[in-house]
Amino acid sequence: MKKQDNNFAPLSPAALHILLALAGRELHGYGIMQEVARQSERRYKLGPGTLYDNLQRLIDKRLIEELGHRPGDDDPRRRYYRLSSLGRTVFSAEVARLDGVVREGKSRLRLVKPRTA
Amino acid sequence: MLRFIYLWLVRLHPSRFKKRFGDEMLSIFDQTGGKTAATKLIGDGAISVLRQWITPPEFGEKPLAATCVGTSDGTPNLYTVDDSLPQTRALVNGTALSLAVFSLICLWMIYDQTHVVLRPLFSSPIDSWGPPLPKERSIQPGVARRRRFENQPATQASSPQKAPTTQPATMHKGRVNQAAAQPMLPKRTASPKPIGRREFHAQKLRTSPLSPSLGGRTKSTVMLALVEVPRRALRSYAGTYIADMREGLNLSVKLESEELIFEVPGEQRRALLPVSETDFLVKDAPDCWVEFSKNQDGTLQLDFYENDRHISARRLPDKN
Repeated sequence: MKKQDNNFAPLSPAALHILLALAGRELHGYGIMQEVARQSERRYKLGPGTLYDNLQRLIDKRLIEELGHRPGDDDPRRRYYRLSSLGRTVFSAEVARLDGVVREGKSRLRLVKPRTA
Repeated sequence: MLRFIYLWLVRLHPSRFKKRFGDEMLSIFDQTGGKTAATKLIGDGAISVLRQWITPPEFGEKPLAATCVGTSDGTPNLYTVDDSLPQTRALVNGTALSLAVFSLICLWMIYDQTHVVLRPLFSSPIDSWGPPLPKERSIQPGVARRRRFENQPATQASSPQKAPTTQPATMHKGRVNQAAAQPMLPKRTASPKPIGRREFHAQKLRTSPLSPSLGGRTKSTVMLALVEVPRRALRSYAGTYIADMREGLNLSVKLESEELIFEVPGEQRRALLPVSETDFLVKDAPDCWVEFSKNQDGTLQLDFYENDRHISARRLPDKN
């Protein structure tokens, strides 16, 4: 993992979900909200305020790129966003970090067996 | 209506955020159906407004352009910042800080108003009422009263506040020693009932050299509890009193809504605060006391003390 990637870890839950939603394809704001709800099985919902606040910070950190409007879209006010190469690297690093946490947690839980009365 | 509220919430965001994401937020609101969902979006928008103003991200903030004027060897000796306008964030924080300080000052003023602070009773010197008492008869606040109380049997033997009253009250040439400067707390056989929290500070003596009559004394702040005096007793004090030392000077005591009002012609009316059944502090006046007593002939007498002045007045009989 590069040192530069460590500067972003750990990501906030909202930022992580946004990067996860954009990892597959380009989406507009409403699409990101729906994708986040779908990925978390509707247990985690982003409001527009939270979404754009995080988008603003991620764009500022150059983890996300703005693509602008798309002709022929239903709503001309929509803008599309995608993961930048830096964003993809950071997201990969974060997933690896979380994967390590999950593996370590599972191994610890296997060691500590529940006591029987 | 809900859209109108949400529109205003979007407009309340910082201008950079509003320009950048305002339309998209409205677009999402328009796509969301149902009042419940719209209400949730309004709540989310309100939180977003607070978050944007309190912890705005660095997005879009212009870095301060600095130019450096250096010497021939390259050492900078002067930096100038072109964009010196305060940022919106700084203005918001400054406003919040100002409001906090203003609130604290208001609270302090309210607190001050609820605590009685004694101020000079009369704007004009009381000298016009008559000559000061001779030095050897100079009366210090509370001292004469203490003498009178010392002659009475103590009823609160175990009271820690008894100490000042048992010490000798020394008065020599207008000077008061520390013992005399102690608070005088009346020991009464009557049963004045303290009124719980209605305590107040009374600065009886001051050390300020600006107070010539009290110069050089030690500071003594006492706490006296107001007591309840039966309305019958208060009513008996009401009336007109004529001063002994100067004819024509009439002091008036009136009973208005369970409170005695002390009035001198041409002066401000002052409330009398009971500290015992016969002793009253003059509200908003330091070192001013009024005490009522009965003469041998049965007439009611009013003694007014202010600093080293003393005025006795007899009550005029009622006309009816």
